[in-house]
Amino acid sequence: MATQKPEKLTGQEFLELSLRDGEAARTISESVLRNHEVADVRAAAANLLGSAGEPRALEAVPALTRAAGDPSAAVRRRVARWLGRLGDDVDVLKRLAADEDPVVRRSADAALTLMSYRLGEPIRLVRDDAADVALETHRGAAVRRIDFDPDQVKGAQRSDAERDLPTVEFADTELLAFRCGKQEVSVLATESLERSGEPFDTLARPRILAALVRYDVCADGGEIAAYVLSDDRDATGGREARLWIMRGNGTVLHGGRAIADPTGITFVLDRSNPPYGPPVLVEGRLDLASMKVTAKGRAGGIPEGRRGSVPTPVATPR
Amino acid sequence: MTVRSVRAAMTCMGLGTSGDVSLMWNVFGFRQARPPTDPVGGATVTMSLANTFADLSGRHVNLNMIAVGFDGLSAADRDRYVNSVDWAAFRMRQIYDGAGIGVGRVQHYEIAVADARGYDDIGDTDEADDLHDEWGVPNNGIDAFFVRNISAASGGGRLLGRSPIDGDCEKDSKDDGLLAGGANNTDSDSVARTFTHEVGHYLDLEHNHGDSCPTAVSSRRNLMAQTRCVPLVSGTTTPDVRNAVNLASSQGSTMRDHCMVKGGC
Repeated sequence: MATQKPEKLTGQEFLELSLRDGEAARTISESVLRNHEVADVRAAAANLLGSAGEPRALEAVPALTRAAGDPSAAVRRRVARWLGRLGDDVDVLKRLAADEDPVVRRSADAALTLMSYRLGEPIRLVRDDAADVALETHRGAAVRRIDFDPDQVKGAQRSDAERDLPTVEFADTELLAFRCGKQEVSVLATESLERSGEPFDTLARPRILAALVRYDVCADGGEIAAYVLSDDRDATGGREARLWIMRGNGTVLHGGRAIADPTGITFVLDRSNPPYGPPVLVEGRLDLASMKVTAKGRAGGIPEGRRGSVPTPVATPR
Repeated sequence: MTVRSVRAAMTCMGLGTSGDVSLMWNVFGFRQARPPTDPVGGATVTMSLANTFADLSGRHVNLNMIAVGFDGLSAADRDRYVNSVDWAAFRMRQIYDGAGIGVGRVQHYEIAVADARGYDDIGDTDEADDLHDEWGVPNNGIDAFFVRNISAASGGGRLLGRSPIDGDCEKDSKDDGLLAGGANNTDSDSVARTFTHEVGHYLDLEHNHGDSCPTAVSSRRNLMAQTRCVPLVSGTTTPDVRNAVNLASSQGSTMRDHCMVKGGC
């Protein structure tokens, strides 16, 4: 590696380096992002920089911001993703949200949304894609109970979540675990819940309340599968906020409400956005005195009539 | 019933028997309508109709090989990667044969760049999940997406592929597809191993090791060992992915019980 300039690496060589020695690949990523002539390689470098965890990812914010003007949409799209998680430059993301490329616009929209809830500012609230979907058996998939079990925060879970989102502190309190399909998921609260001694204040502004962390076998580690967000778009003074489960790319999975009282927050998730999220009904409560979360829930299969797009069959060769 | 003819094979695969039949396209499922070339040495592989009939007569899986954004590749890269996709299907037959699982119907689908809504370039695991949430083939085959590019970071390095463990059999469920690979991976043997490894996950296999790699070479040559654990090609720093594809009998037993594995015709 010492003998080869980063910008001379082929895409395959950069791929192999990042697989073999992610740290070495990150070390040269700023140079690759700035100088490499192949857009896909610059995009990969942007992703490696953004996922470097604290403090490396935060140090990369200036380089990522400069790359917001990259001629490649693939690069701008990755830059938007990471600036939403790491930076606080709203204007850069707003420019990318008006990009000529629709995929860049979508990425920047999602990034602006995440930034809104991270910073507590109503810059771009969640687009309400969730709908009331009946919780009942559909197409052979029966309604099943979701078992929420209390779990202890593990260091690995916190560090996995903080690598994905190093600008947010995750609480060290007890958390919940459940299975989503066949996937084990841990609900990891952020400090905004830990410090929610004033629940009305907490819910009065856009917040990232928690992250759903799942173990990814092929990455050999956890990752944030979705965020639990709240906002007071109905201007209730924080008494009854909207609640959202959203993937990091802006896809809304579920919607619901969070209702504050002097001793805690009661929540319900009863809206879904198939095919991304199946119909669910989850009810629970955060008790402020003990900082314990309890929940119970059911999920209800696949709604009728909601099918994904079908790819085009390849024409028979002659 | 035992499959003994092309007609019986076509019936078993649910393809009907009317019209012209191409052995390479319909029965073997090669997108190029000819056998792929071996990335080592460049020889054209040979196929056995008897083995394919035997696959259909026993427990087998059907595959939907979905190319996403291949129209965005140069002609040379597209040809190379289409060969990689066919090579992956060919290797799947070889690797899973030892586990008592055959490959049945292999069909090919495309999503053009213009339709792909950006999913021809997978930049994070959310996009990989959205890809199989938004697209799927309504049949009983495993949906395997081969995309133009993967630039996603994953753990310490780059994402090569991704699959739910114990994937769904009901299409339009949450875990009803897998990301099989990206055309930016130019090593056909790596593409084939990633694809067959992800299919293993889909059929309920986990890795055969934890945080630490296994010490036994035989375990490091298992298909479900992560690439970082695979022994290196002698005298190089390159993992020997071509030869790290073994499956234990217990793994075969687990997979044969999966609902995506069909009974023999």
